[in-house]
Amino acid sequence: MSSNGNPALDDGLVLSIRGVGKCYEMYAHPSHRLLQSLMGWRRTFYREFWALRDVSFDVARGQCVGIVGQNGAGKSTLLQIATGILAPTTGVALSRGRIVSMLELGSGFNPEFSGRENVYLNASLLGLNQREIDSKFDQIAAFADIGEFMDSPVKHYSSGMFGRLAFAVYSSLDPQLLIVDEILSVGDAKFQAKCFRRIRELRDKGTSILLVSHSSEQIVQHCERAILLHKGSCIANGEPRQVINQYVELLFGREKSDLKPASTPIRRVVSPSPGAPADQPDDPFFRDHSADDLFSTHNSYNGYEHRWGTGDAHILDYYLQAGNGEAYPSSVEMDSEVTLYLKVLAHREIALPIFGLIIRTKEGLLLYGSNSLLATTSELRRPLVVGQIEIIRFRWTVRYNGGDYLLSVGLASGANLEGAIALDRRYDSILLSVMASQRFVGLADMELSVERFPAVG
Amino acid sequence: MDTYSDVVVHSAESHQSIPLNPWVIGRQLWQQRQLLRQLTNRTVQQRFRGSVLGLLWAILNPVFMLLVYTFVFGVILKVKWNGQGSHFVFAMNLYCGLIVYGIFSESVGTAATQVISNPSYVKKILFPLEILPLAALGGAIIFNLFSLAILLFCTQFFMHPLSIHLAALPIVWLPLFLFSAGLSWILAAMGVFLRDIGQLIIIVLQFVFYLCPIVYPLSAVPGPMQRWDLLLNPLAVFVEESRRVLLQRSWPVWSWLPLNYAVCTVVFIFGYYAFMKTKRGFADVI
Repeated sequence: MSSNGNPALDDGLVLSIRGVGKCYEMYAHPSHRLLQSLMGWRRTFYREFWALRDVSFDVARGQCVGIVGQNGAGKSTLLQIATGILAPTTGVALSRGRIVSMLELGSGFNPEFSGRENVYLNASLLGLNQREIDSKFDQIAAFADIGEFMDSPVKHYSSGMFGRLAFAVYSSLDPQLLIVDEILSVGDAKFQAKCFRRIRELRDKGTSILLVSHSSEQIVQHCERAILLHKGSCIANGEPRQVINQYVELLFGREKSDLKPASTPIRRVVSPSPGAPADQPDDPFFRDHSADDLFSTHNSYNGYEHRWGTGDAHILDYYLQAGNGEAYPSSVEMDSEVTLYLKVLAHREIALPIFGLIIRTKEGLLLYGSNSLLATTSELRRPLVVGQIEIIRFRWTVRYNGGDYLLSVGLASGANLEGAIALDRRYDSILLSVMASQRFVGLADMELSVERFPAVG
Repeated sequence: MDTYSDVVVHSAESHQSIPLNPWVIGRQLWQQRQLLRQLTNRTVQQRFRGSVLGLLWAILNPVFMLLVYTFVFGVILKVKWNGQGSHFVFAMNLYCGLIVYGIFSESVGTAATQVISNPSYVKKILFPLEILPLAALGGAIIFNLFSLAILLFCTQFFMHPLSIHLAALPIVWLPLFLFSAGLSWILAAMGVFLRDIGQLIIIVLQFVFYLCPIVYPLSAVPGPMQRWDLLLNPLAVFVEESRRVLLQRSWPVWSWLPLNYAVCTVVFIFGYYAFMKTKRGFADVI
């Protein structure tokens, strides 16, 4: 493979990042850099900043790997190292074959020149010769779809046209590895869909993809594996949905505390409580109240749930009821009403509780999400009292197509959503199957009506 | 799976050895000729893009500059070329010097900003940065070829017909190109780490201009200083040799050539080496 004693790269891999770290020398003033090079042996004039620390992962041939992380987590630095633009301070990055990096769409474009000239300039920047570009030009023009604008200066383009043309050039190259940095978030939905279609085509031809995105859906839908970077370190590497859950927790959660079994003695159990609805089903859920976590005892419980929060209050149990009254149904029908009861217990007084529900597809697509703050009146905002078990009821109508869905339930506290603190969030914790409808295809039911009239002249 | 051939390694120490053999350097640059041509084109076109007269400026520019210099030095200051000749002879000698100086200054003068003014080439794509200074040099050569054409046109019709000695011009100019390229690489690399270089170089180029026998013949320099001017100012040699070939219908001084070639090749190799050695650090700084 490599003759001069370089580290070897497995045949099945296109990229291998091994123990890569990147340290920047931060100078307070440009002159300090000069001083450092002249008399650096006497003292250090810079501050070290480690943008990446000991990151390792592989990208196999044809694989799509997603990278998530907060701003400043080191994603761009990592991509620059993978591309070969930056030299790592520690470790090695091994790659094989042509890498095309879309770190920024159209970075090589010159606004004064026409689209056509820019296509040629940029394609040669990416290593194509005149003849190769000639043969690909029609394909590029067709994808960019900018018509006669191809011959006017790029500075007159709309940003959408600019993005389409740039993406068309980059993606025309049939690389072994395509590196995409968050760029697809710039265009409109149509452009994004087109780009992802193109990316899928490339994948079918065997191109591996390294995708940075803030969109959990893109990662879950397109990637086989995801990597979570946090403050320069790789803290998760695995199944995309789990990694995304961890990422969401980093974004919105405070420090994760171990959710210990509830130790708060139950002060007062009102059964049935005076305010409880009369149509409450007859089930142990509504009779036997303990501080035990019974959530996981039900069949529809998803063992791969992602649970996090401060633990100041707990969601202890749930009761799912189909429209026909069936308890814990194995599946529900379209248009039926589903009821979900949650049993919660606070260990500390929660002044402003928020109860939330999220419905996602198996693939991680966010179908619906709302909470007591968004969907109801302020009547629900009375405090949760320590030691008192309360029951929360969610009710909704199934307006989505057949398939498997994952319900996430959550309990948070806060005056508004921005400052909300997660107390107990149980992501993807309940499985709900919906029987397929014959009425339509797709996810959401738009209740299409079709009519027909004779044309009266 | 031929496409999966070479494994590329990026780590703290460079695994790529930088060639010192000028042939190998030349071959590596030759592989980038397509890109170099595109970028040189861009340099040339960018200068006139959007202007009404377009490429005509490439001719008008030197003509007007020539008129100004001839007026100031020939008419007002009455500098005579070796104490004889007309304003026209003065103008042609001056012009010849300006062309050589132009190739040098237009490439070296912009070298310090070549890399820093293209941050996306450094940070966003994998780009053979070493051809950026070369593209500037290529642009400078093309501009001055327009000037050369005017010069040849003028001498043909107003002085004497073109002679066989013109054939020696590439031999005279090749080391000029090597020298300019080498110096451009050094300045481009330094300019990344020390932005002051860009300002400094403008002043230095002014010095070089007046220290060069451009507005005066070398023979006007006092005897003992002539030698120093030739030794310390490599441009002086190119100016004198170009005049010999283009205007004086004689061959270059062959005995100067070996030293000339040796010095310029060393500058070329050193420049390339320095640029390639520091290149990996560019993205950290920009």
